[in-house]
Amino acid sequence: MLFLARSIFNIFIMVLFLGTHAAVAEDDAYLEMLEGEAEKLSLDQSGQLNKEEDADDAKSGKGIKLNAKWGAAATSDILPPGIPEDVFPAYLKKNFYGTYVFYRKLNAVDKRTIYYHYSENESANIDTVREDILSHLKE
Amino acid sequence: MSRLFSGVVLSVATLISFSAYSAEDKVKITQDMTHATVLVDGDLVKISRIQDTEHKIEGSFAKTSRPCPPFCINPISLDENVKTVAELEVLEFMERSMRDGHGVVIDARTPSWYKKGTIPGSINIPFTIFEKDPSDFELSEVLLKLGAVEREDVNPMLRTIEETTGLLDGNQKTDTWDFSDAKELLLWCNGPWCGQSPRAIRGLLKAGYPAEKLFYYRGGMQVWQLLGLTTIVPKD
Repeated sequence: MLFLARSIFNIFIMVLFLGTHAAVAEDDAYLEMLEGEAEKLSLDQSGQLNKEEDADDAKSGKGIKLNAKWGAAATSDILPPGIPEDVFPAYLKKNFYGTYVFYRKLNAVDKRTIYYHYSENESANIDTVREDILSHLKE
Repeated sequence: MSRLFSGVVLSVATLISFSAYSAEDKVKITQDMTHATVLVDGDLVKISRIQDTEHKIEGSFAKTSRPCPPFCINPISLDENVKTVAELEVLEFMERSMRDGHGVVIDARTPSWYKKGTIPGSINIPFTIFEKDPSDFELSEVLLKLGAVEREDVNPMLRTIEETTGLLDGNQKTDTWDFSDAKELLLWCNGPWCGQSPRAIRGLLKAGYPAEKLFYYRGGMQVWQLLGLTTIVPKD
């Protein structure tokens, strides 16, 4: 009976794994096709404004600032080396608030460990710090 | 002499007004609108249409067919509560919601598409981020930047009341997120055959983002280009 239950459980896990794996593979194929199309991409140039060269001509005014932070919102994943330990939480809070939200849930020892790993790893970036936080949260 | 001078002035004035007309007003956006202005990195940029009435679209968006699947035609409506919009609504959104800080136009394509050219005023958040689990760092950070607020230790009784009655902005909240002050998002990708923004929208809905704050520009880059509207190459 126990053997039967185990077998059913194993089959269930296998089906679950295969299903997930198939979905991931499907996604990878889609992304691959997207990248393939993007490589060949060329836009009609006639209506294109080159931000660097032509923006001045197209401007009808200056001085209104809004959403400037959005320009870097999706790409600013750089975590500079040498942030002092006492400044580290504030830096996360200011620049990676989502990461900070998870970081603040850690106990003091884990927070110190996160900082230690960051300071010891010369190539540490926000991804490695996130992974580190996540692994401590799972513990 | 003065009559001759008046004649010259009149001719020059006519010439100037004619060139202004031919240079700016020949192909308008609507009968009453020649252009819209949008903020790009803090600068106002003009969106207008190509003025050459003989112009035909070239490049990738002149292409009619791509393999389906995966590049299949999308329905007009992705969700009964997500509004599908066209170009004029996009421009209005840019001039209204975006300018007052309540709205964000999102180019939901992968960066390799975005880098080649985008609709002015759009920011690039690839659809893959919106498909992540709401507890994921990247999605959390994006949601926070979009004005969502993280909820902690929500009283189960309170949550039940919110869910069942819709009181206390219950329909704007999940167990972990409060979207009451979240921005309106207008998402787009390559066109009616593109699955990237639909997937982003489905991801946002799954995370609990209120449907009425989401807008889907189905025409995307293909229709934008077809109408000769301004595109821009984003800064690196």
